[in-house]
Amino acid sequence: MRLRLIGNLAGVIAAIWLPGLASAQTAPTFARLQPGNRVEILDLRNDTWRQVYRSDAWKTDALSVGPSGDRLALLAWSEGQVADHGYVVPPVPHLTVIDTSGRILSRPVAGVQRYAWCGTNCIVYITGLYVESDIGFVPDSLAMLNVTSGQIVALPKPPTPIGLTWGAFDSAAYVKNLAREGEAVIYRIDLRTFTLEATAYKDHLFSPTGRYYMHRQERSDTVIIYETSTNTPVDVSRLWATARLIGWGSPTEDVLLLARRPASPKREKRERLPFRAQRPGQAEPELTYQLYDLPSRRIGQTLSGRLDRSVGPDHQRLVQRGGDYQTLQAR
Amino acid sequence: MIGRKKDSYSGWYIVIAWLGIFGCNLVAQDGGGGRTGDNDLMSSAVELNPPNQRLYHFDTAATDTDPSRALGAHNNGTLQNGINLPDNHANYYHFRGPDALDTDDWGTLRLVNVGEAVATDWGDATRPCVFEDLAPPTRFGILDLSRGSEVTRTFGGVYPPHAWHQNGRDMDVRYLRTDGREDPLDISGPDSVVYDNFATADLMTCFLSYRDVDRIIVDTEFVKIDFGGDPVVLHDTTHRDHFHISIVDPDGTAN
Repeated sequence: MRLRLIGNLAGVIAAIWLPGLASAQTAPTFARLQPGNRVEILDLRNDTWRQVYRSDAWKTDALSVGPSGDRLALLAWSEGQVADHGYVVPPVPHLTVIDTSGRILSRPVAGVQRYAWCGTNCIVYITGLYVESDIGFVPDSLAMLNVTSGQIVALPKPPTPIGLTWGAFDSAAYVKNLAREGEAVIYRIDLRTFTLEATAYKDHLFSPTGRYYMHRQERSDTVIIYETSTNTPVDVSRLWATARLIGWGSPTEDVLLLARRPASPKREKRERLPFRAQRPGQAEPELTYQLYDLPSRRIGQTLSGRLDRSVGPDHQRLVQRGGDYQTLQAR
Repeated sequence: MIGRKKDSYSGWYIVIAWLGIFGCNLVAQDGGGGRTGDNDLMSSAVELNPPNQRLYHFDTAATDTDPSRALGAHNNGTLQNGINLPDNHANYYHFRGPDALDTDDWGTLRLVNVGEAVATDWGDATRPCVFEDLAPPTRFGILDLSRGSEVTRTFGGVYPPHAWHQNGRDMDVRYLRTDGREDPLDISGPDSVVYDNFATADLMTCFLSYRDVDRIIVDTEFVKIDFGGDPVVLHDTTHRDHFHISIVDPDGTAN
């Protein structure tokens, strides 16, 4: 039922933003950024990566795979100019959208600091000026891009937008606001009516169905899961004793992706060891990753290996072990 | 060029050196390393720093009291009677970017003391908190603390583009460079070829040797430092051009 609902919503959006959705792929696409601003895509049949795009930008980051798996987006940064110990011309990120063959699909948009896919053909984004700071930019606008036509629609914005996600479950963008007294933290923008409303939510990291959201507490590893309808915490605190939360773990189900904490030697109270620089070639340890189904409170798939740094559509991730890749999938 | 690394060292050396560091409590020191002698917790540099002089009339020959108070939380609070970080030090530089002079470098005295104490350690010939890099230290760069205005005597509060930095307990520090330049550095970008993860590991260790430091926020994906699972370290993807130091609430969390 949930799948059907999401499918219908995606269909409606696609009808508006992309009449020909026939190109949408069914197999998940996993992509990664490699040194030299190269974008590679994984062929899951033989676990090999192939380069599909190379940017001549100063640097690239924030690579993502669109919901349909046939489009990728990234931020390609132009180099800033340094004088007197700082930037006199700051680096500028350009939102670049390509298909899986590396073809650029729309004219890059300058100044995009945060973005989120809002359907197969739609990206919402925040623009702003880069600043060396915790948030990293001073926001100035919020807008929506039609990838095919290149059409940009300005969106209403909260006072200081610093992050955004898309709720596929209700066709809305959720925008995090750096709240001053009396302001909401999370605002909702209905992408059908372009109306902005304040919410009482504490964060904007919603589960695929929208039934839950996760709130990462500031300056802490602590995460609280909230039930959206009541805006009250769900008690999963026992999980954190043995596991660390990575994020949502499925494109359709309300599943958490966890990494089990490795057993570590007991330390004396207040004992701190010096930090050590990593030597080249130093491998990250293998961990055990688990999917935890929130509604049933049950552990699902478990895989051991290294969580790959590649990105997939809608929270899908790969675990690598001995050169083989496996997809973490909710049953 | 910083590049002389310790290939090996005695485990005893670490134990002994670390015992000396453990539990360091802050003792205000002048930039040269000497105590102020007036039995307060302020260095002469802080006491004589013009904004602090004009606001609080500190006396280097008297025992001054700490006027600063951290009110509320890092992300929802203010700073009462902020202390201004001296802009010049032998071992750190303060980069204020587009901010006006003395508008972005206010903190609790404890935070300012952490910055000064680490700078003193950083320039110490024996460098007790240094394990990775034996090269002469370059100055490290301090970015924003909390905002403030000497004129209006208002300090702290919401400080875009920061989510925290509101009550005088947060300080941003640049990653160190191998070329010694006092310039910005993005450890995820092409200039990461001049990123000195050895010296940065040492600098973070110096900060962590002070009990007041309760958080170091970095992008652990790019920082190339083994933190040994230390829970004080928090990963955040927005910390690729600096790392973030925060301290415990000096006057308790009840206000």
